Amino acid sequence: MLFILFIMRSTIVIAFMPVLTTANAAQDAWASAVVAGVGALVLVIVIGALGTRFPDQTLMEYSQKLVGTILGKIISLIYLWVFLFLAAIDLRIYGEALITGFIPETPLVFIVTSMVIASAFAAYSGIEAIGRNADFIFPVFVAMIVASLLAAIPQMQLMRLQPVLARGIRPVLVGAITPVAITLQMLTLTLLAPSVLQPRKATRTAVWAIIGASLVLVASTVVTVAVLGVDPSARSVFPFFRMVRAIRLTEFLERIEALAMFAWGFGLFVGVSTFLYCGARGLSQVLNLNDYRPLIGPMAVIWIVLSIHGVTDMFQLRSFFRPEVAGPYALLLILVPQGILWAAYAVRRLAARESGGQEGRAKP
Amino acid sequence: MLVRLVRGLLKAIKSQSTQPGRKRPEDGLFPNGLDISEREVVTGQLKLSASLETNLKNIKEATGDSVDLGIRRFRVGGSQVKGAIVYLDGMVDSRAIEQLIEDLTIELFKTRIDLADSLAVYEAAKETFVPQKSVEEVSDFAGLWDKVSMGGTGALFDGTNKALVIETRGWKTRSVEEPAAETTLRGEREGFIESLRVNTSLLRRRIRTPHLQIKSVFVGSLTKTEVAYAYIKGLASDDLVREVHDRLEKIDIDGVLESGYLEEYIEDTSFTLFPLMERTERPDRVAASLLEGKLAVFTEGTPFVLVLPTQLSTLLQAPDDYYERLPIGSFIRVVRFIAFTMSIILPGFYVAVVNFHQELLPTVLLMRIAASREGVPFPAVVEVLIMEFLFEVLREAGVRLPRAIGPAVSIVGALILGDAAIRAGLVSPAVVITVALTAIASFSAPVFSLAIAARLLRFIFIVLGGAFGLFGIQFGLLIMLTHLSALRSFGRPYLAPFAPLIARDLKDTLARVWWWRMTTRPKLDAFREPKRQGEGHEPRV
Repeated sequence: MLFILFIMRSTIVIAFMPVLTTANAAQDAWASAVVAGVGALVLVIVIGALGTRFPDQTLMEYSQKLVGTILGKIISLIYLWVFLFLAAIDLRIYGEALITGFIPETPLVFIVTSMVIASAFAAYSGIEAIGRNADFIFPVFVAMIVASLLAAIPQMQLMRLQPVLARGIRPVLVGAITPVAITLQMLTLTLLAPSVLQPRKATRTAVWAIIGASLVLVASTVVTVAVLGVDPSARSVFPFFRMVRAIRLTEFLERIEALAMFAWGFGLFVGVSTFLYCGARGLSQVLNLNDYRPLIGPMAVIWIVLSIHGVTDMFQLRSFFRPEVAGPYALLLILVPQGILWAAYAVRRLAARESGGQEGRAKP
Repeated sequence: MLVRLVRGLLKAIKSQSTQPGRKRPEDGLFPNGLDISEREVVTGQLKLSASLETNLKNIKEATGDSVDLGIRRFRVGGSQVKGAIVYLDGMVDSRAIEQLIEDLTIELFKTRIDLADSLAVYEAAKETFVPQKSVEEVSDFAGLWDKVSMGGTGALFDGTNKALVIETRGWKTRSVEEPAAETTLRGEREGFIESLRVNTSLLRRRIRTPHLQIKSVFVGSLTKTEVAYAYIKGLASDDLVREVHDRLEKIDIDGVLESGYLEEYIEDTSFTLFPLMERTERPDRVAASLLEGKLAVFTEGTPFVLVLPTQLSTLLQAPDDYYERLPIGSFIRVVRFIAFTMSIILPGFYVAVVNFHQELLPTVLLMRIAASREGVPFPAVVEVLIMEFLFEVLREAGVRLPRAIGPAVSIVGALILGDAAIRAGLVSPAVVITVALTAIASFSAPVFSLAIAARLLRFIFIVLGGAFGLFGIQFGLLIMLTHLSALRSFGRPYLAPFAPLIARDLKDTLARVWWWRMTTRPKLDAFREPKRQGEGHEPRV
């Protein structure tokens, strides 16, 4: 599970993270990345801690216990929307990148569809298969990222990172909003945790995953800015790729961006299959179905359509990820439902303590 | 007169009206038109009678008086009690038969029992043989035949409705030779043969502990093949042993000629290209697996022993890795892993790069390939598919041909066809290199069944690479990976110890650690006794 969350988070890094931070914070993007890491950590602890109180239940199950069936189902549906939406966007970005960089004549539908088919197959095989996939992909994934970062070292010019904090702390904080917003994906934790061997340790695992992924984010931001300079990395759509494309170690080791593309594809696959699994599993629990598998097919089709028609082009997507849009949107989706659940939990616990003096876990 | 005539007529009509399936006295045991399962039922119910003549008649009838059925009559002590021995010629040691007759006649006579009492003779015979040979008592035809068909000799006495079966097995087997399909540079040269008992003895000689336990199950309603499974009690999990036993017991088939039959019955899922158990001809491989808590299934009549459960990484290990010194052993293993990956995706990768991603190649290499493809009439996909197919045909021909003509095929195939095809401009040299490289890579898989899986996957990847480029290859890899992740061999994850990641067991995967460092057995296989040896046994200066 550590690997699943780690890969999901780091995939975003390769995808387009540096551009988001550099846009606001310029050469201090790395500081934004650090802040973002801390912010994400807080959110994950908020999300995870509630789950730890109900170790063998998913969010769909305990939310209904806490705030009643109808409100609980509404909250669950909001979360399901998040999964659907995030996965669709992930897919779209990946598709766009492939088309711009590698196979310009291939239709987007084709790329998205085949990725969803592969993910649906994984989701259909169950959470065990997804977890093992992540286990297997993890070393390959990390090796590819580390290799591309290391190979970029000769091209780095650390002067480009100066001056530090020239425009004050504000842009740094603003730049951190979007990466924090994408912590939305960590909501899958609420569905994955009950399937883990030790559900109580799930939050701790997620924290480690965030820390690891944040390190990758910081490192790749530093390298990208140092290799490309502030302006090109802020303007380019996929700065990480541009950075990798700039790598030229010797005569033979050049144009290794296919490697990064592979890493991204693997990461995306893990992410999307997790979303698909969580989405289907969550929906089956909202609808009180016994098996989530029949839902995968229809959901996969919806995702394909959504990722193609949900967004008109790359620029719309970019404007969505601007801090003033993505920030409130995501925080609303995380904080409001979580707030309601925490409040309900607190109330119930107080009530329980007053009535019977029972210690600890609320069991309404 | 008239009355007798009428009676005769009536009798004739009656006998005609009897349905063909029902038994008529003149048909003996088996009325005409009985099919095999009905015959089985009859022989299964056939009891031995007290009369020697009836017994012999029944045996002759049940076996159709086959030419290899040997029946020798004798009289104990000259005249009193009649007896006979029944055996299958060629299955028994002829000297043992001579000895047996001598024992039954002369030795029994010497015991000075009342030779008129058939029961006493029978008991005396039993007593006489017990110390010398394995003797069993049977009371029906099925039991008798069960032993006789395995090389036993049945001794029948007039007046007793039981028979003695004496062990006289003595058929010819191939001698123990070097295994043909799995060779090593260093390591033992003995391989399993077709005889199950010899095979289990080869294993016994390597693992002498009494806790090495071998149990057998008879599979096949007609072949009644002995299938034995061996494990080290206390090391192999009891659940696994029970599961294997249950799966073997459940098989309902008329005949088992090779362990491949069993494989399809007892594997976890049939919908996979990958072998879910290891098959090997090498006793050292089996012994090593047993020491890790695995289980081996021997089948009578084949030198291929199934070892289960297995993991993908185990299938890529060869005995040499452990016998050679560590750096070499680990290095060749890494080479083998790379070669296996190559044997799956190399041709597909070539097609993808040449068709879609020329920019990934260094410029000089790209120019070379482009120049060599000049004038080739086919697209790269078709070219590679043709060559791969050709190679499969060559390989198949090489396997089927008599050994003497084998080299001729390789000369015609490789030298003449390959060279001429390039000169004629039908295929480009780059494709021939790719295909040849892939072929050589696929030969490096130590377990043949894995190499076959790679052969089929290769074609899938060629098509994916040709149609969708590297993206298609990635798609294929992802599907394959998911499939492998979901695969289980007897409940154990197939990709272990990579996924799920078991850090402790990584010591023996891509590379291996020193023998004195292998302090634990694989976690999933060895259930209660993971410790192999103590710590700190490294050699000291």
